[in-house]
Amino acid sequence: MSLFILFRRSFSILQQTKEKILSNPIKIDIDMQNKLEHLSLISFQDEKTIKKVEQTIHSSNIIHQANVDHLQPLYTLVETELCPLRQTDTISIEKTLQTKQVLENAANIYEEHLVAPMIGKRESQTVEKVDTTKL
Amino acid sequence: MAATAAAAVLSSGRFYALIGFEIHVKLATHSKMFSSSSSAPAQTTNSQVTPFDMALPGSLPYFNRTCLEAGIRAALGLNCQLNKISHFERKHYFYPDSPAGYQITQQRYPFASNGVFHYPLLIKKDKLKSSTKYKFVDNQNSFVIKQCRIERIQLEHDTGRSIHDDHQNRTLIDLNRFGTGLIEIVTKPDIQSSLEGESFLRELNRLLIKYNICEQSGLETAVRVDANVSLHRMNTKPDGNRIEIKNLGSFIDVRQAIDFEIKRQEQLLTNNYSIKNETRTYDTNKYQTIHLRRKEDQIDYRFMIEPNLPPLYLYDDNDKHIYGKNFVNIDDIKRNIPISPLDERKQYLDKYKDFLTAEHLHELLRLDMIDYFRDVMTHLDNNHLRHIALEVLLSDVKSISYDGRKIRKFAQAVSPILFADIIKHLEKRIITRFSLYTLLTLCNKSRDSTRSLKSFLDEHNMYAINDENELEKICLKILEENPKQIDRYKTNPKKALEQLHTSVCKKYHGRIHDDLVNDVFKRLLDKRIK
Repeated sequence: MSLFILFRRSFSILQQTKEKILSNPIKIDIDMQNKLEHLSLISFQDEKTIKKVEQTIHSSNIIHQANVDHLQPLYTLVETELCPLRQTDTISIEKTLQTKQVLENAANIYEEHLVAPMIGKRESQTVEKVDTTKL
Repeated sequence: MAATAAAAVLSSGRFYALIGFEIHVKLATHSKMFSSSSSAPAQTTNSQVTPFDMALPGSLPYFNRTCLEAGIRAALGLNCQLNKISHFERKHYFYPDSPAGYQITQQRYPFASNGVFHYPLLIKKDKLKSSTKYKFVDNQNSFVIKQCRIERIQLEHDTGRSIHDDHQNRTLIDLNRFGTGLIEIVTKPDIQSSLEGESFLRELNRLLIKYNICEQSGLETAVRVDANVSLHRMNTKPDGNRIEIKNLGSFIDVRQAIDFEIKRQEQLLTNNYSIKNETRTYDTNKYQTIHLRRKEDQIDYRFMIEPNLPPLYLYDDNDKHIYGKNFVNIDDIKRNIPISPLDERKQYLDKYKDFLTAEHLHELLRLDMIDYFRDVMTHLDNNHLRHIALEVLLSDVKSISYDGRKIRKFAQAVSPILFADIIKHLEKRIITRFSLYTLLTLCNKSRDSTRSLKSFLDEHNMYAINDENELEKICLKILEENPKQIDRYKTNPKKALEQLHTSVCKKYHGRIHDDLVNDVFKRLLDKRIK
């Protein structure tokens, strides 16, 4: 009997939570869309995709109902360990890859460089420019 | 021009500037911070890469103790509080030279914080005339010392190298640099002008090299500076907005960028525009800062604790019962660090107080000659010689090698031992004061520090003529060649002697002492007149 009451109570809380979430629908505006695309490197091609993302966020929001006030986050499984230190500042030839190993899975290489599409200068880097047609 | 304009803005009394720095220092270690490949620069492309540097699945970071020790030395030199527990974090962003998609850093839980760094204000003497509020010495024996608070120092690693190929619309990536150990030093906005900024960075550079935290060349290769600059109306509180100028690679760039930015912000404020948060970069060709991105475009880095690295613990003598020898003891490092540049200078002023003043030391600092001065002093055994050496350093050597780069080359070509030998010869009157500049220039150009002084003097016949009979013969010959000066001596003796002195120096290449030749000329001319 008590189990039945517990089940009914849990179901009722869940129902209330669902109603609460449904009454506050998620809407992704253009700024948020740009931010999400930038962070994920995924392009939201059309309205259908955006709708799906909104629904996913919607469903996931139930996690906020959990009471975590008395909890600390577990950032790492080894949080009670001490950070191990590599004791000697020596170079390991065995662990260093050969250049051909570094490049072996790259689709495009150029003079032993990995090739990436041009993204743009990153603000915190001094980026060199070279005209490879003259090389 | 920008410097004058900025100085005018700050001395007008209408505005004040707040400047802070974020300084990335490449640590002087053989291997990288989280992997054991080499961190040496300028190696064959993609030849210093481990699986971790490529973010291959299954690879894990293994923290290099030497990086931690270098970081602690920096923290002690900057009088920071060392946090016994700190955490590594991931700073997420996508860029091809960062294969993992994040950088390991210590943004929110750094190992050192709340420090303060004292530095001497350095200024060219002639600038005092135009900006007299900048006193650089308090009195005979002390500098004007400024201070800047250090917000935090964090450990992090460098990224790979990107080369943009505009023509082929691609970016070439070299991962050799990825994972190299860095510390980031973040200051509070206590700097109030480009002059203070440059003085701060020069002193910090000295500390980093002296404590073996970064490579010898310091700011030019191992250090990158980002400056945060904001200008405010006098008697108003700062609103927190500031302009971030990224990737300044030399002292001159730092000064020019700050001066330009102060002038630019003054124009905005004067026209009633407000300063909004913005990131800019400095164009070294146009001598101005250029917009990169606005506050609204600021990146969300989604910081999270690095799950593959447990918390970093530091210990001291009080924790001896806890730690083993494999862990880092802060007090051990404290006992072994060298004296700070500030204390070292106080020692010099005390040790050489007979002839060295704060003004002299300031000039040596400004010209980056302090280490050369120290080495020369150790090879001279009395204060009379040391005084002569100081005078020669601040006149002849200053003319030959007037900036930091040139003085390093001079120090390699003219070793402190050779320089000390030259001073001893000068004191014994084996060479003349007049020939010193030529001799030092020849030694500097030869670039052979193993050559003896004797070989230079023999090759170029630079020995002083000290024999009285020979001097008399020379002076008589000069008098025969310059009869007008004999007549002139009767009416204007000073001018006549000057002309004769110039003639003899030109003819004998500075091999004759001023005082001796003047005495001989006077004696001969007086005899003739009688």
